[in-house]
Amino acid sequence: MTSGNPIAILLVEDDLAHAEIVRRNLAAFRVANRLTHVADGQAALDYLFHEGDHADASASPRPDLVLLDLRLPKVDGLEVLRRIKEDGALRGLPVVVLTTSAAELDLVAAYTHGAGSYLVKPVDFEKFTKLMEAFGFYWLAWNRFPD
Amino acid sequence: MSPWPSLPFRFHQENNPGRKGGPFAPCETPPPLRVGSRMERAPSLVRGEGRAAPWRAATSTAAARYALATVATGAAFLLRMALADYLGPPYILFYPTVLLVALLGGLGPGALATALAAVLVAFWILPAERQLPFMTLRDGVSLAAFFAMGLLMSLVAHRYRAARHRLALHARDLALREAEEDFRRREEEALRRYELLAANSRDIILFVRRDGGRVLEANAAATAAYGYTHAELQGLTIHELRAADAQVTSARDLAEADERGLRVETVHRRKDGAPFPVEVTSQGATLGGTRMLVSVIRDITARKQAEESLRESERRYSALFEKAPFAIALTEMPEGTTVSVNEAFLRLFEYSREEVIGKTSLDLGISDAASRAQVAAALERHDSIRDFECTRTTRSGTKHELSLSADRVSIGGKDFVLTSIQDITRRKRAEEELKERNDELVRFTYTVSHDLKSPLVTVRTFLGYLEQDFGKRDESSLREDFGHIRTAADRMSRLLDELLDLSRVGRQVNPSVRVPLQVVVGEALDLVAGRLAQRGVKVEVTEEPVVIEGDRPRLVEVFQNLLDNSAKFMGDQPSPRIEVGVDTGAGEPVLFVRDNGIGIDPRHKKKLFGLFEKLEPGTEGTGIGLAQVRRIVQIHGGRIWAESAGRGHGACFRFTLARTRRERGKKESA
Repeated sequence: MTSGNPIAILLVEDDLAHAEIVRRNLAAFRVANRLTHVADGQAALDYLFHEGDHADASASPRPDLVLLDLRLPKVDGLEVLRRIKEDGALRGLPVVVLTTSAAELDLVAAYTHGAGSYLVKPVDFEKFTKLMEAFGFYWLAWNRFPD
Repeated sequence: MSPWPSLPFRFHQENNPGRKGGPFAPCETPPPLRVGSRMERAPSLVRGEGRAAPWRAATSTAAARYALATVATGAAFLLRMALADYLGPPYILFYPTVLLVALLGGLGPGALATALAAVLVAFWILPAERQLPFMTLRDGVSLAAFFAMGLLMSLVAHRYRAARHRLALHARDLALREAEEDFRRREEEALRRYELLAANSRDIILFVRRDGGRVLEANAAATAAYGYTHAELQGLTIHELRAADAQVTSARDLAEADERGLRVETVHRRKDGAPFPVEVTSQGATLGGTRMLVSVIRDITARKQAEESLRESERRYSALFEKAPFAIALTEMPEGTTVSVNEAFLRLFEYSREEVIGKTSLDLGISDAASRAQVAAALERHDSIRDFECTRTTRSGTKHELSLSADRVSIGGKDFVLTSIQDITRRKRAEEELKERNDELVRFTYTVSHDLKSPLVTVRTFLGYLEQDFGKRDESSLREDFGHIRTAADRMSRLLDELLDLSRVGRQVNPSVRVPLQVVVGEALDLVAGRLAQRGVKVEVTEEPVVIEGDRPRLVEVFQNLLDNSAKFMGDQPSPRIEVGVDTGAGEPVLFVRDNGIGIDPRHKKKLFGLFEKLEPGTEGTGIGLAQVRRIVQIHGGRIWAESAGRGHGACFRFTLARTRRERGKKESA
């Protein structure tokens, strides 16, 4: 379905079921092998900044895209987003927020902190599938990333 | 001294010549006016009489008049002799001389001058040959004619003089009568003036006999005020005009009034008995030989009423000020010394009135210089400030959050600041608490909607997969789908249970009881026995005799949650251990639950007690447990915090509870 290099995605999601849903949907876009899942905000920061359990830079390569939940244990999703956008090297990294929260407060905060896109998880199998399909097409097929 | 101006006339005052009479139309017939003495001193009324004339001296007495006749005749004789060669007729100078002497001296001197002139002519002026006794008939006839003429001239001149004198006397009488008339008119005018003054006076004016106090005269204001007719008043004494219960004027006061004048307040009564307050000004005077008191009496009913209503208004405002539920202070500018404070002020700052008056809030240590300057500057700019929030210190050193409102006011030309003070300490605390609760509520609703939605998303989505996998008859996938759905449903169920629990925490449900720590911990251990056994956790509980107080089931919940939390995060600890104890060193006792589990990353400590905050992803918790513990501890007047040397070093939750006591030998009281 797509051409060119596979895209590496860092999925930050504490709900294992939701992570599974994302994994299943993106499998169709040949990026399953490049989907890295971390379950809390601290793990995400450790992965991106090569700290703690992810001190080995070669084991945690820089992703092309971060798919970020907002409600996260330890470090909040907005905080992760702020840290990414404050960092000189990571600032260019596109972050797509994927959350159950449709709160205006979160929406505004996410964009203020530099989110590239804000997606609300639909409470419906069909819609969730469609959303992930559209997301896949847009970000993984059409969107161009720097090399 | 008489209160009246001295008058242009005087009453008869033989009995008391040193005093001037009063101005009134006297009640009795006035003594006759004597003007005789004035007439004597009256200016000359006959024209010319006052002028200095040399002949006046020469004609003032009879002897002088006759001397004048002799001298004048002699002079005329000498002049005739000296000018004998030039003057012809011998009598030429004697005619005018006789006329002059008669005009000035009258008949007698005129006759003398005539006789003397006749003798001189007969013996010296006529030539010697014609002198007596050689006189010719012609000379003799001339002499006789001269003599007759002289006598005639003298007689005519004398008549003229007499007529002139009568005329002068008449003119003088006329002028005198006119003067007298004029004087009487002026006197009447003056009397009328004073009558008008008395009649039109709004004040009552009474003439009262010094002895006995009988009313001699009264003005129109008196009849109007007392309700008696003029005649009735004259039949009364001053004592009968006084109200029955009014103080009687003492003899000393009467003497004082008589001699120096006196002003007193008393109560008089009307004919119908109605009393009215008066101010009496009395002064002694003598009129027509009678010693009396002239009393000017002012009805001060209106003034008394005004005074009373002023006092009433003062009492009203004083009550308003004193009983106001908030503190009020009146300070005088520019120093800010306290002039007046109300009861609420004294209660709030714990001072007595004497300690506060005359001091500034700086002197008392109520306010600090910086804050006071801030208020002063604001007042300088705006004249009034509203709801200025600040902290002030009471006498005992307690700090209060206050809201000040102040206004600059000017009273009697002085500048003051009126400050009203409301103690908002409790309100502030409530506001803070409310804000905290509000924040929590916002987070609560937000989180609940999010956290309840999450499992719903899982359930709905995996139901979709379930349908797909059903078609493929892929049993392992089906199992996986069912697993996700079950987990999500369990999570929702637990979340709802815990939310219900949490909603109860905010209020104390059960009455406070005192329970030994070991009893509460024992109950909690029973509740978490399953998990402890499953992980093989050893629990050690202190034997310190400590009694805690509060809502017993809630206290049990605290330990249950902390024990459960410790057991949950034991990680791969081979010999998991939990210690429940109490530090009873200095200060209040601190309870603790310590474990040797995975510990807490210090970076995330502040999220530990947050509602719906989970530090470990994938664990079964909902993020309510520790939030609930904190809430219960706070309700019991305590605080809670966590200590951990970091991951892998175990955690220690420490907390206090108000009214925790170390009590040896005390038994469970509930």
